Amino acid sequence: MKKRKNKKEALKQELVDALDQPVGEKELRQLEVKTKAHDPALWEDYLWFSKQRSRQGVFGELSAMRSDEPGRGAIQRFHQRRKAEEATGADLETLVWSWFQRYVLTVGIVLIILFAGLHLGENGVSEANGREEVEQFLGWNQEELPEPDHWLYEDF
Amino acid sequence: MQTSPLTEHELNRHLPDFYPRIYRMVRSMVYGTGLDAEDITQDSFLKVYRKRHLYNGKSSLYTWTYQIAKNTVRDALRRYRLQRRLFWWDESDKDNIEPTEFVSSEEGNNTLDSRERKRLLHEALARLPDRDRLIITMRDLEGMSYDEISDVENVAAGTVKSRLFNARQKLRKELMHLGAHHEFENR
Repeated sequence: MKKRKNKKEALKQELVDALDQPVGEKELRQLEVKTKAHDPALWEDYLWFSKQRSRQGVFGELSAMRSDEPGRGAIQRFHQRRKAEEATGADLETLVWSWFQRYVLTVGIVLIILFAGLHLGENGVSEANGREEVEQFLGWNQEELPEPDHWLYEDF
Repeated sequence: MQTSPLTEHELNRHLPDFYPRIYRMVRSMVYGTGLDAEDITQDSFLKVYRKRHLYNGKSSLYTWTYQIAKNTVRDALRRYRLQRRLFWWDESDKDNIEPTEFVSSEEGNNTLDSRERKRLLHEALARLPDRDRLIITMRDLEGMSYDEISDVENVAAGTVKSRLFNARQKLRKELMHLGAHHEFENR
């Protein structure tokens, strides 16, 4: 099945080649026999295609369209658009950069200062707490104990 | 192989040659959709100018440009079809035929008969799947070589030929369907 399909594709390629280059009568006859033996419809298509090469045939009409040109000034219009878009792109870049400078950088610097301040403040508080704990542990800052006034101590 | 990056000056030099060819392909691809071929062509070239540093010279500059244009037009068609599917009740863009300006250098010979045949051909082409329309446009309209087409499509030259044969068969069927078969039959 696959072999048959490959054969068909190869035949199509040969037929396209035969349409592009003039083929001798003998070779054409051989191609006809070969094609018809495989798929007669292909040969019919080939014959129709070969008729279409004249100026008023399908391929003639299509190749005549090759001389058609886009509307006048198309290339200038393209250059105008390109310049306009490049300028817009550059403007946008400048706008984004200035916005970034104005807002993001300013806000960023303010935030950095704020966080640094908070961090320092936190350190100060914890430092004070730590000192208190050490003093309590060592008993340096202990409050004066009240004089013992119990009857048990009277004799002393 | 392109060793130095592609300059804007180089692109400007090729533009007058490439622009009409790409425009004809885009026009053939978007025929009947109401999409603006000039707009899509400009989009394609804007991409080419922006991405010129990516050109490595493995293929010719023309086929590289063509590939970018092919992808741009496919994206535009995909968006257009999606929009049609989403807004199926909106009929405003239907029956948009030939909105773009096109100047034939053979204006004098452009008889009604010839114009009608051209219209029928465009209509039949528009009914083909994108891939078939593109291959016929590249080979039969633009006259690109099989090597160039295989570069653009990234397939072997033999595959290009069998695909071309299939596409031409479909075009024939569509012309028959439009009743225009005989218009071209005995020419």
